[in-house]
Amino acid sequence: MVFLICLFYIFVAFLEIPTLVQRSEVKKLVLYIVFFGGAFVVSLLLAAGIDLPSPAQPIDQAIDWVKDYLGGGN
Amino acid sequence: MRKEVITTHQGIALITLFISGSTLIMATGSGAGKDFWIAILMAIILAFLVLTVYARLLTLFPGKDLIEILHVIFGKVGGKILTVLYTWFAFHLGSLVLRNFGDYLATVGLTETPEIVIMVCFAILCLWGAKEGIEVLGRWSTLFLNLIIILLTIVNLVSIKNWNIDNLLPVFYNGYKPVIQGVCDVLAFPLTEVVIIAMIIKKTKGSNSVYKMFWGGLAIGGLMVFIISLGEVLLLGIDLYSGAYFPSQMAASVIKVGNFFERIEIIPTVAFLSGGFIKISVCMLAASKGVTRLFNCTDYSFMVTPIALLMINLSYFIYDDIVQMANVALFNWKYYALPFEVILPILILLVAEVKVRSGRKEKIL
Repeated sequence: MVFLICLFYIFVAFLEIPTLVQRSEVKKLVLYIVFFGGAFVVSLLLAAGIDLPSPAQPIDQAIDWVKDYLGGGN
Repeated sequence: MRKEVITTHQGIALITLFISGSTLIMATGSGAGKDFWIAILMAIILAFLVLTVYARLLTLFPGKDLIEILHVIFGKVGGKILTVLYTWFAFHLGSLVLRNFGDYLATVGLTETPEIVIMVCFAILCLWGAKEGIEVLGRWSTLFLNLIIILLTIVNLVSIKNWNIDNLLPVFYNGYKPVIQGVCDVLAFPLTEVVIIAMIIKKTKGSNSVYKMFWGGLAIGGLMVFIISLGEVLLLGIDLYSGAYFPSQMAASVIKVGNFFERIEIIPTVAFLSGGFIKISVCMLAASKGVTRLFNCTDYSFMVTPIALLMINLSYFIYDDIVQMANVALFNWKYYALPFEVILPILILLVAEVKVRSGRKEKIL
């Protein structure tokens, strides 16, 4: 799985990064690499079976807290 | 740079598909019980007011989208904070719709296929759509809206003989409180999710076209949501409608005309495919625009791929299973979404009106 993910990301990088390099737009290139690298790392962690903290849990907790505070609830 | 101008007709089609996208497979307004249809109608009326706020904002600052308007009104710091919030909302919503899509197909169709494969394939398609820009999405919507309307009309017509009007009675049996709950549900999902569209639309052809676009899209999209939900409840009853993860698929599976017209589950699937494609593409586009705007880049298309990849990742690990997703959609979504969809736009409009009327419009433009 990790190999497939690496292959997929290398393929995408091969398609897109040369265009940005040719245009010599450094800011865009840096921004692209940061986000692309972030996505790659997250994919690798998920493929390795590491449980990443889901943003759904803190959002739900915050909503429950607001509901309790307002005296609402379901 | 691309012009990114769409016609009113394309805008209406885009908004219609955006509204009806997820509702074609998921239940909405079920919190109101048997009075869900009243809740949907009331929510449509309220949504007209909310969408008027979006349209007014866009007409106050012609040629600018919501993200640019935020920077004009609130300056660098305030604009960036609100841009982060709206970018997150677009990104999160896109991930959820992608997850819905994966769950739906993995549950009802491609049961042997890993969900991630379905999501990756569909996300690549949406990535392509988002990279092509709003003009292509607008033209695509115009084409496919007709197909969806025809398909859904067929489903509803052939299911009429199985409808049971008792599924809607008695009216207001549990009082007005569940109806208000249902109104909030329908407003938050899907009617005012259209705020994402305001993040990507800059220019439209024709005078007053922004109002026509939002009102037209809401009228057709809202009507579709109403008819789809009504048909499903008349066919299944409110308990199955509320309890099933994908009521449209269940409704389609019980439709049978004679011995030759049956097993038409593919129709809601095709309709959802089209609506979901537009919704995810628009969310990708909006999130990419938000991120690039945060870093003062004018072009956004280069950012669509990393955003799409992050969306796939988030959609994969955001919920453990379909039960957790359904619970959030049913109980918590409105509390989370309404501030982005209703409260913040109203506050933004108030500040914009004050700024424009105090004569600062010329200065800031």
